[in-house]
Amino acid sequence: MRTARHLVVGLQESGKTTFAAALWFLLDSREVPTKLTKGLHEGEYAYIEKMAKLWGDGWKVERTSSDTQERVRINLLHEQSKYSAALEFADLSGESFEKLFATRRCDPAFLELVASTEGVLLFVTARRMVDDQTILDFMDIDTNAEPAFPPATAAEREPNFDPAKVPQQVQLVDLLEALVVPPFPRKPRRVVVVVSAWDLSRRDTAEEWLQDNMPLLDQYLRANQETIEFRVYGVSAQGGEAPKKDDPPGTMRAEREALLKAAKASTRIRVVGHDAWAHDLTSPLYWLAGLEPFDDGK
Amino acid sequence: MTKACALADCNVSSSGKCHLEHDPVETCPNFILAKEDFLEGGEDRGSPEDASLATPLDKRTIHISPSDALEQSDLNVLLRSQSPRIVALVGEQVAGKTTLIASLYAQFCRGMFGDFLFAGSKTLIGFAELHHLALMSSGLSDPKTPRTSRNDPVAYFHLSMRCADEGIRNLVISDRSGEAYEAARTDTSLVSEFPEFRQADRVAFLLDARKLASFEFRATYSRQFKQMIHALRDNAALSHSPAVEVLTTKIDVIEASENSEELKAFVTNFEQTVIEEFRPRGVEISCYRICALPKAKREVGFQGLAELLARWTAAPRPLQLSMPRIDVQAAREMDKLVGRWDLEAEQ
Repeated sequence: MRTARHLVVGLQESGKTTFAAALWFLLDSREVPTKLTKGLHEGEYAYIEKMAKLWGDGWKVERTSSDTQERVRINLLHEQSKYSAALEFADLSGESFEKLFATRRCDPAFLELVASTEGVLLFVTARRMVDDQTILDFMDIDTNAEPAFPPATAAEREPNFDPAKVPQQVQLVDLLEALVVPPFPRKPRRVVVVVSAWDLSRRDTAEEWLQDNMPLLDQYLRANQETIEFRVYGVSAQGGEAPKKDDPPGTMRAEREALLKAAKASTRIRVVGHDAWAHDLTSPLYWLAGLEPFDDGK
Repeated sequence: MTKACALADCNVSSSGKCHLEHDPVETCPNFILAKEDFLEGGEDRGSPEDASLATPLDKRTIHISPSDALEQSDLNVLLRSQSPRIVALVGEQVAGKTTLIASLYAQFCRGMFGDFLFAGSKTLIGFAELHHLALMSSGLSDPKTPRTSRNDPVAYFHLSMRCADEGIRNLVISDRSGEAYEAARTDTSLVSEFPEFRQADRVAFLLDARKLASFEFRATYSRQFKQMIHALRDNAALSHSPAVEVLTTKIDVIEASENSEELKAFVTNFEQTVIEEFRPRGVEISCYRICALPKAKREVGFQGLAELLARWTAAPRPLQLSMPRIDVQAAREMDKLVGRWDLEAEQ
C-alpha cells in the first residue's frame, strides 16, 4: 500500500520537537481517541522515544547539543480506509531551513524528500519574539515631546544586511514560495499551519493569530488557496510550561506538578481549529491527508 | 565532515563561529567542509597539499530559486511567463525611489494593503534588504534606506498581488541610482543604456518635496527636474507612450514646514507648469503626492501608496484600432475571404 508523505517544516524553536514527542506519546499510549493511529514502524526510534519520555515525565522537550539525529519519521494509519501516511520531520532543529533561506542552497536529500511530499505541516509559535517592528513604530508622534531615541548622528554605523535577521514571516513565505518552483518538482496540495504554544496566544482562533502576528504569511496563503489549500490550527503540545530536566531541582515545580496531575497525560494536549478533536494532534494531519470524506462526526 | 575556514585566524572549527561574523557560518565565502583527519590530527594527519581534499559546500548542495532583486536578464526570463505591469522610477539621488519600493513591501508586511492581498514575490530577499535599515533589529535610531550605487545595474523588484474579486496582478518596479539619471540629464547618450524604459508601462518621475521646500535649492532643482523629462523624451525613452506621472514625495516635509500652505501652493503651481510644458510635446502627465516614510511629521502617515498601487496595476487602456473595410469584389481571394467574414460578423 502506498504511503503518503507529509513534510514538517519550521524555523528554530517553532515547536516541532515538542509536537513530535507529544504525537509519539499520544499514538503509543492510546489514552484518548485519535483520528489517525500509530502505523507500522521499523528500525531505530530511540531518539523520538527519548523525546517522548521527556514529554511524558513533564520535562521541557528540547534537543541537546549532543543530539545528532535531525530526521524523524512517524507513521500514521487511518483505520477505516487503511490510508497510511508518514510525517517527515526533516530538520527538527530548524537550522537547515534558516540556512536554506540565507544560502539559497539545499541538500539533495531534502530535494528528494520534498519531491515525494504531498502536504506540508508548517510550524510557527505563539511564543515568538517580535522581530518585525520598525523604528518608525517607536518614533514619537507628539512633536513637542522628547524623541524616543536621540537623533541619528552622521557617525551611526549602518549594519550590513544579515539574512538571519529577516523577520520570520518573510523567511517562511520565501520558504513556501521556493518549494513550489524548480528545482522542487511539484507543489504541495495542502498546507497546515500549526501555531504552537497555543496556550500563550491571546486570540480566539488560530486564523486571527496568524493574521495579527504574521500578516504577510496569512496573505500569501489566502491569496494562493486556489492552488494550495490551507488551514490553521492552534496546538499546545506541552500543555503548559515545563522545566528543563537539567535545571536545578525545584525549578518550576508547581508548573511540572500541574502537568503531571492529569490522569491521562495525553489530555494535556490541546488542539483548536476547524473540526479538531480537543486532544488529538492527528486532527490537522487528518485534513492534510485529505481524509474528510471519511469523517464519522465523532 | 568538519567545519573549517580558509582564513588562518578563524576558529570556526572549534568555536562554530565565523571570524567575520557570518551567520549561518556556511554563508561565509571562506567556509569549507574538510575531512576530520586533516584538521584534528588523526592517524592520517595528511599534509598541506591535502587541502585539495576539502569539499567546498556548494559542490554538495543544490541551488534553489534566488530571491534577490532581478537583473535585466532575469526580468527578460520572467516576461516569458507572465505579463507584469512595469514601472520605471526616475529621480535624482535621495528623491525617494528606493524608499518607495521598500515602503510598498513594508505595507504588505503589516497586512492587506488597499484592495490587495500579497500573493508572492520573486524578490522577497531583495525587498528585505531594502527595508532592513528601517527595522528595530538594525540598531539604528533613525530609519534609513540603503543607497543605490551608480555602479549598480538597474534592479527590478517584483510583487504579485490578488485584488479583491479579481485575479492576480503582477508588478515590477525598476530602481536605478539617482546619480545615473543625473548624469544622463546632461549626457543624453546615456539614455539609450537604460533598458527599463523600453519595457515600462509607466514612468514615474519622483519630485522631491524636501528640495522644493528649500528656497536655496528650489529654482535649480525645479529646472533640472523638467530637464530630466526633456532628456528622456527627446531621446526616445518615452516614444512607446507609457503612462507618465509626477510623484511628489516626502509630503510630510511640506506638512511639517512653517510655510506649509505656501509650499503646497508652490507644488501645485509647479505640477501645472510641468503638465502644460509637456502636453504640446505629446506627453500627458498626471501628478500625485505620496509619503512613503513619514519621518518629518509622524502624524502625516503613509499617504497615497494604496492609490498608487491600484493605479500602477490597473489594466492598460485598450488599443483603439481601426480596420480598413475589405472590398468583397477585390481581386485577391484572400481579400474576398476576409470580406465575407466581415459580412458574416455584421449579420
